[in-house]
Amino acid sequence: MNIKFAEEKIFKVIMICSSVLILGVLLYILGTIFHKGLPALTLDMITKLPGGGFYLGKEGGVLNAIVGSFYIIGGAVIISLLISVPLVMFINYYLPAKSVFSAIVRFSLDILFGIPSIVYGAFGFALMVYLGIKASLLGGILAVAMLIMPIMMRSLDEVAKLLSRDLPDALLSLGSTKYEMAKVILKQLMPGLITAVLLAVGRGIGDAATVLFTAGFTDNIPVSLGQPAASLPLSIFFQLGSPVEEVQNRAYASAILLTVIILILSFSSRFFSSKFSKHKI
Amino acid sequence: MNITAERIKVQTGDHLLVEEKATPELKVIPDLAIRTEDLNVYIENQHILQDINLTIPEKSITCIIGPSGCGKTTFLKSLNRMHDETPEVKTEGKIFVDGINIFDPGINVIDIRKKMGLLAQRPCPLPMSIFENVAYGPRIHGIKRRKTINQRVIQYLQYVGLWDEVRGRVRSSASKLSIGQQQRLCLARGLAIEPEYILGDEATSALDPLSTKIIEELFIKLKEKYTVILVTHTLRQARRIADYIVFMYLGKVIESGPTAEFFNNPKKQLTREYLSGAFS
Amino acid sequence: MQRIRFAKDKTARYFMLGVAVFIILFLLIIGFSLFFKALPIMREKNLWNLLTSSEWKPFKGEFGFSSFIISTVYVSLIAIIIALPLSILTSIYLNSYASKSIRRFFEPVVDLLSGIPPVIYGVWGTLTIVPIVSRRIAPLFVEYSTGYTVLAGGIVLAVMIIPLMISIMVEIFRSIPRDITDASLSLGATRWQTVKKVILRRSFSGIIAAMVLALSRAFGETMAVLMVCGNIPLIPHSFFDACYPLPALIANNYGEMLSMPSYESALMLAAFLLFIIVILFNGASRLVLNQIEKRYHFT
Repeated sequence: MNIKFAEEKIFKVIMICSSVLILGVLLYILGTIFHKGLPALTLDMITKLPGGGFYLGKEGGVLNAIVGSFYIIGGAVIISLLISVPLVMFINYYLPAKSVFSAIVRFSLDILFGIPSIVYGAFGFALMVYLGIKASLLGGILAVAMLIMPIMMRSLDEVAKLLSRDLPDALLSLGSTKYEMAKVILKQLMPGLITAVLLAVGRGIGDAATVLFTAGFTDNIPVSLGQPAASLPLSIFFQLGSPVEEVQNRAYASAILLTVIILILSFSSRFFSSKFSKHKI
Repeated sequence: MNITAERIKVQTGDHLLVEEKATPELKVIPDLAIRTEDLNVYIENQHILQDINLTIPEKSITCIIGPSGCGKTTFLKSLNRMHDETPEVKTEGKIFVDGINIFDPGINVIDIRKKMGLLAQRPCPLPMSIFENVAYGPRIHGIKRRKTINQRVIQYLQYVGLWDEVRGRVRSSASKLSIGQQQRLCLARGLAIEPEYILGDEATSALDPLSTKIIEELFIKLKEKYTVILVTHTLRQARRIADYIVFMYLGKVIESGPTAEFFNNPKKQLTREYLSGAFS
Repeated sequence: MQRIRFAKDKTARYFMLGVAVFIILFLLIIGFSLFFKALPIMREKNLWNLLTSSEWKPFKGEFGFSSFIISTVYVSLIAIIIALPLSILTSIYLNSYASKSIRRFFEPVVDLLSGIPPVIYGVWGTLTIVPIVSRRIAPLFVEYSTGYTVLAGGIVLAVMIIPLMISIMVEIFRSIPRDITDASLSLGATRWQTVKKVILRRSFSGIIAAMVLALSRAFGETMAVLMVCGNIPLIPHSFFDACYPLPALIANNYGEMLSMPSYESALMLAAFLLFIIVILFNGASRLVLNQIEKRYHFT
């Protein structure tokens, strides 16, 4: 009799320890990054380009990587939206609810979702060679777009699935074409779309393996699609590889920048998705 | 030439005619706005509507009553071909609206839907302002001029009695209205496309009694210009506002006729049982 | 006017259909491209040889993948061994024991952990895990270790896959109908007994599926592991040896790729192998998870 209660008590303690451990690891990670990086985080880091010898300790900042990352992710989001939005509208509102075709599409999405970023990077590289594109902003945009598309699609699909059928029915009863109906529904899904974009950006901006082969790296800010682009994850990685301690510290500072961006994105997407669920009731 | 003023005959397929009170001389048969011919609807192989042969007279209110699951909503949705959107539904037979079979291959479903204004059970305002909600229909059907749009919006908001309540805030979101107001807005929206028929699918069941009363009065007003077909699950509502009743049970039309006759002198045993509350 | 309307509608429909078909084909396109690029080296050498030899001397034309494959497997195994119990325990706690506020508090925690970019995990790993392995754990077992080891890779990877497993498991546990758990509790079972006999038993296939999914994620993780694993192309003999998983191989050597066509082909083969493994694992576990969702889906 007592055994079953004792067992429960023991496991309860173990479970709580496990949960606390996980929470602790998160705090540990954030703490380490901020602790190491804060001293080296100067205004210069955010506003200047790396000077010559930056990686050996000379002056400069990581503006090239900040801007480069934003350019890359910006382009990737645009391409991804152009494909994700029509796809999700199609499988949710054009195809019948239980169609085999939509099941196949969703399954393909699930698999694409799980492909590691290095494979997208390698494929992106092969694609670029085939098309004759060198390592550049364009290459980075294409590779990151491939990575974030399934993420955006799945997130948007989850939201679209929840939408009640009342709205499409009402629109069609008024004599709308499916396209007109889709435009209005998209309006209703807007918070969900924003969440999907934020989620995708969060994943795409921090990923190194996609841009490694495809975007190249540079100390400058690209002014055209054909020029190579720096990115934060790669910048962090390269700075870390320097023998000079000061540069390594700057790597931690850059890591803070990236982490802060991610934190902002994460909280914004929570904010938007809660806003959406308020509507749904 | 005696015709009792309010008694007009309604013919239904295989059922007997409602008897006339006055001398059987001139029988005035009104314009049959909608006529169904051997309508059968199957949903995933279940025979939901069986051999529906029905006529619905114009410019009047016809209420379709019956226990839940008897096929009322399925019938209503057949009228504006909403079943086109669900491939699990198979339809056989014909529905003649103004003399034309709506299932004819040459017919564009959008034209059919433009003729039918559907008011659903739960009000569903579009995610836009009050103004845009009403303007939506006219806009997609080709009306561009701002003046015409404005006129229509005001006209129909007035018609449903919303104009005075919302005139100061037509640009604000429609979701801020009360549920009764939202339903009236949906009605205005449906009217704005200038249909010929108004279909209501238990349109007041989600509303409070006061809003229900307002909507019912609107239906009565509507029948002057439109043919109104309502699915209702409360007998009382049917008694209040209907000119004609159609009683359905398990996918078949059991009986139909003018309201007073239907309630006072039901012909079928099943009808009598239903009216007395033996099942619902 | 009406004609334009219908034309727009039709164009939109065709575009959407095209996109849908493209997505289905995309998977095949990626597979074929990688395969095609890997073909040269598969023609040059025997595939079996490539997979089982551990000689990696590209400039001498030796391309043995076995040390990379084994490294990948080792690192992922350690990650799963660490992550699985922790994830299950935490998921059970969150689902059956934790109060609503604790549950709500943990949601962002899990989200944040899954959102942290791999490179940051790599930085953290180099700063904290590698020294811990080198100074505190390794001395208990071996003479010396730099800390850039299989173990370090496994630990970092474990932390990365825990959020994924927790979110899947919590969903699975939540989908078990309340009636069943209530029935067990009203028969006098403790919560823990209910968990053991009812929840875990019913979720077994789901937990396996979550594990397989996490494993496939672990196989493909590049950056974080690369920074802590040592990158030495030898078969690791203990957890305190350095290793060199497949993704790290591809990432580290892309520069060299361009110098020799067979090197490039070898790396593409590595990518293709990864692709196939991940697809198989992903596909299988998704099928299982979809079945579970269908069985218990309520909404």
